[in-house]
Amino acid sequence: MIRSAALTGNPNCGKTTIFNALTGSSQYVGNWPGVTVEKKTGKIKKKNTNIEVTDLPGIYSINPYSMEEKISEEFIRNENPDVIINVLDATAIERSFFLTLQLIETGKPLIAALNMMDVIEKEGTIIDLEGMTNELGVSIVPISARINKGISELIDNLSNFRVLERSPGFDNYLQQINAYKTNEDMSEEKISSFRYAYIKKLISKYVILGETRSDATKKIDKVFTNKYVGIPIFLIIMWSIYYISINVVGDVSADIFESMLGSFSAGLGNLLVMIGANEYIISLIIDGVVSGVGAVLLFLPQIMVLFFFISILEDSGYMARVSFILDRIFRKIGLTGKSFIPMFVGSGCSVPGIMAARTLDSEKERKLTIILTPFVSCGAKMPIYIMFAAAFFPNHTHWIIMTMYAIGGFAIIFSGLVLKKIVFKGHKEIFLLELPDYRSPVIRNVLRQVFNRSKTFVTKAGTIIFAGSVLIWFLQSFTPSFKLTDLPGESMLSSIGTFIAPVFRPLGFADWKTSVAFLTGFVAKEMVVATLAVLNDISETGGFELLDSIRSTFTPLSALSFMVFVALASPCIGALAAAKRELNSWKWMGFSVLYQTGLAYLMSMLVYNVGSLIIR
Amino acid sequence: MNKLSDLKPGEKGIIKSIDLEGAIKIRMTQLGITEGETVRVEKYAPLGDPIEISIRGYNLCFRKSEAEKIILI
Repeated sequence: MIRSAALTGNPNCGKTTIFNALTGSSQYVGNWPGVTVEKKTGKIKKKNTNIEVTDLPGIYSINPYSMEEKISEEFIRNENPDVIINVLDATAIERSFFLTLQLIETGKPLIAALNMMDVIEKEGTIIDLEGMTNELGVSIVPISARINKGISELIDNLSNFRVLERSPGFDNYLQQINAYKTNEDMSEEKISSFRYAYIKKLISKYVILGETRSDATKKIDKVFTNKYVGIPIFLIIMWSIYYISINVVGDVSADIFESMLGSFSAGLGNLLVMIGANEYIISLIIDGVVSGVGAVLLFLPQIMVLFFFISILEDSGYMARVSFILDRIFRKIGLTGKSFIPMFVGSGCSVPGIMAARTLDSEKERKLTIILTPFVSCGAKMPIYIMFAAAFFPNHTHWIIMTMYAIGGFAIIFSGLVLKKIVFKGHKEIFLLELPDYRSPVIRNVLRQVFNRSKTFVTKAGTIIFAGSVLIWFLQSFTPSFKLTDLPGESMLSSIGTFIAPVFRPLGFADWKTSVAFLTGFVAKEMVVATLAVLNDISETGGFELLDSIRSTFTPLSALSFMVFVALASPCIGALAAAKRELNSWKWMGFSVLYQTGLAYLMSMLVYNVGSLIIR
Repeated sequence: MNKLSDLKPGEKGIIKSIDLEGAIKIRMTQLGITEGETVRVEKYAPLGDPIEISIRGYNLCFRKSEAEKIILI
């Protein structure tokens, strides 16, 4: 009786798609090698089976090479799942079999799931599955996970798992390779070549390759990785994504949502007065909660559209191409094109971005990428930029926002150059990346991803931002001796803010409210907007006139300086915790925070002071 | 001496030897870059480096510095 199974296979062969189909989960699927960096568990609850399945990061071999591979290898070795489900990519069958042979050599019970059968059937490839099964003594289940074909056969095979007889020829291979492994004269490469030689024989015996391999990927790549237009296209894609989600969507949504929230706040206020609520309770709800949470939720439509485009790119296969195109540039800063992926994922949220660095091949690349990824502005910083850009540069919002990303990019390049020379010197990086075929994004995947990411955003608004807004309201409404006050200047918060404010004076914003906004941004970046909203009492007038109140506190220049500081300064606590976990060192995490905040301070000071000279 | 990096996009060659050492060599052989195998250069990146090849029915990219060490027959 099988109780546990582990999904293994090459990166990007469809393990997570199969995992989701088997267990009804909605784990994230993308089209680049290395989407899954952690193991995830679920249960098959179909047809009276009760099997615990673990989805493991993709591996090309069981000699661990990068960190996610170690996770898989250790799981197979130590956790001893009852059976290993080895997923093979039928479109790269030779390479897929390499891992299969290695797994069989370990002697663990195995079922092979030959995925992407729909693709190779279209190509006209014919595989004698029965012959292969008899030769290897392993059941091979043909599946097409993306169109949900073969999944129930896989479950049947799992619940009726039995060990099959191997052919004498394969037994012979196993004896030979095991002898090689104990022979000290045989290098790892020679053993690998021996495996591939056996695979070649296997393929020639049981596979007739189709002639009609789709050349869609080649055609698409002729444009996207073209010598002249490849890089411009990349820049245009990035620009369009931000232009559409920030400007086009923003123009429509901001007005609608603002008036909706305005009337909601006014209506709720009247209702509370009607039921005779205490005036402090009214103030807490309207000035605290509705202002704070509302100000953040205003940006939900823009964030959702941004997530939509990010998900489409991730699902299409374009990400690996960007790594290919940009490697030459990343090399200059001691990284490889592969570091683009953690950084791009980081544009949604730094936490998964930092974790995605696990796919990188060397320890130094990983450390450097973890330190640099927070310079890519995450989705939570977007509301801050949109708010300030809309207040001061209403006709150029997306340009201002693109500039913030560019400043992040500049910080990455600058820091890479410096850290490569000083901290990570004498290191040769390795770049070896599979380029998967393009595929049209599956709308179900994309929407699931948009939903999951938006849910996180909204959940944060309802929890952290909610609590934070209440706290800010409280600190603003009471004096240090716990007396209620209507004058914010006498409040506890003002004392705290005034105390820190001098630190930020060289950056052009000595206002105590701004200092407080920085502190709260440490908890979650959305809190910056919520804090300014609560502190500026924006619902006082019955509407959400956040922009006006910001215009009265900042000048265009100090707003710019503020944005630069936000773009570069230490990320939120969540991201710091992730960095600590992934760097596995307080020292490195401390270095990373001090470095980021220090650079932010200097850059912001530079912007403000140089700006003042120019304006004067 | 024929090197993989000498091939133009679309050209094919057969691998004679791989003059690399350590982790990168082990990795490449595990990915199927082995002696006697046919390799085809698909393209070079817009900035001239890295290189994309196809081998054993799939596509892989790595840097020219590695491609220079892959000797063809």
